Amino acid sequence: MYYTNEMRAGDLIYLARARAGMTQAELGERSGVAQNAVSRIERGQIDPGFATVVALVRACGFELQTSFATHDSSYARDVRRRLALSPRERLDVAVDLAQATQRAALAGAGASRSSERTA
Amino acid sequence: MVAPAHFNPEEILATLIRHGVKFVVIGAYAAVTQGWPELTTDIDITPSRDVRNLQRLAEALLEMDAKALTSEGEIDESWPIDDQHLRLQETTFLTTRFGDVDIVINPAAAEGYPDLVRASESFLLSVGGARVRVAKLERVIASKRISDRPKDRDALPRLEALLRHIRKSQK
Repeated sequence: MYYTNEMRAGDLIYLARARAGMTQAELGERSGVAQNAVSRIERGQIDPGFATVVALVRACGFELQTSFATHDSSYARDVRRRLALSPRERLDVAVDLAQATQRAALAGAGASRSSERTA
Repeated sequence: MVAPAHFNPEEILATLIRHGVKFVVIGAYAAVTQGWPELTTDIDITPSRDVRNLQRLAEALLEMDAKALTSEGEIDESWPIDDQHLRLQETTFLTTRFGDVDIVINPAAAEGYPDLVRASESFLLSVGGARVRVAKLERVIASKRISDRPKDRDALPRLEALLRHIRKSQK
């Protein structure tokens, strides 16, 4: 699983703690961060530094892995365009896509790969 | 905000062929023809960059009422559909009355049309009555590895599994 940049540090800490089955007090005790601070971080009232996030996640028994991916705005573009449609129109578009995809797959499956590929 | 048109890739391809456009189909649509079982919302093509071909491409696009799309999904009326603009843009996102078309001059992991058109990189396929050249799955995968967007990372394990299966079945 990977998390998007929509996630706040507090969400990440909450998810790690929940997966570890720990209480805020237990996490505070294990990490050395006060239970009150853990609570405020999870509620978004404190924006912790990166080192604190790493330490809290580690105290939950996990390693925080980070990586870069090429930025891509096409999701947002596609979502906005679909939101401009009515639910019925969205279904129609989905059916169109499914049918077009099926036709393309059938075209590929129907071709004799050996002869087509050498054409 | 412009709504997506009904997606009819066969009409897009037929129009391009009718206008004599030299191009290779790349991206997810190319993968679908080789067994990738997922939906795609547009068709990506790499055209030959020679001036006459880009003129034919512009004519075909105009016949399909093509309009440039901004990254926000709005129609960009200031962007003319002509060979000069097509040549200058690395990637042009268009919407037509048959669905969305992305024009990719230099796809990742390839040196444009001359590279893709080689028999080792692509094959001919009949789609909706049109004979079109389609990038091989290996090429689609190489391109996605380099593009490295979240959706590429998401798709790569399944594309690679498909390729392994195809290779195994061809032995």
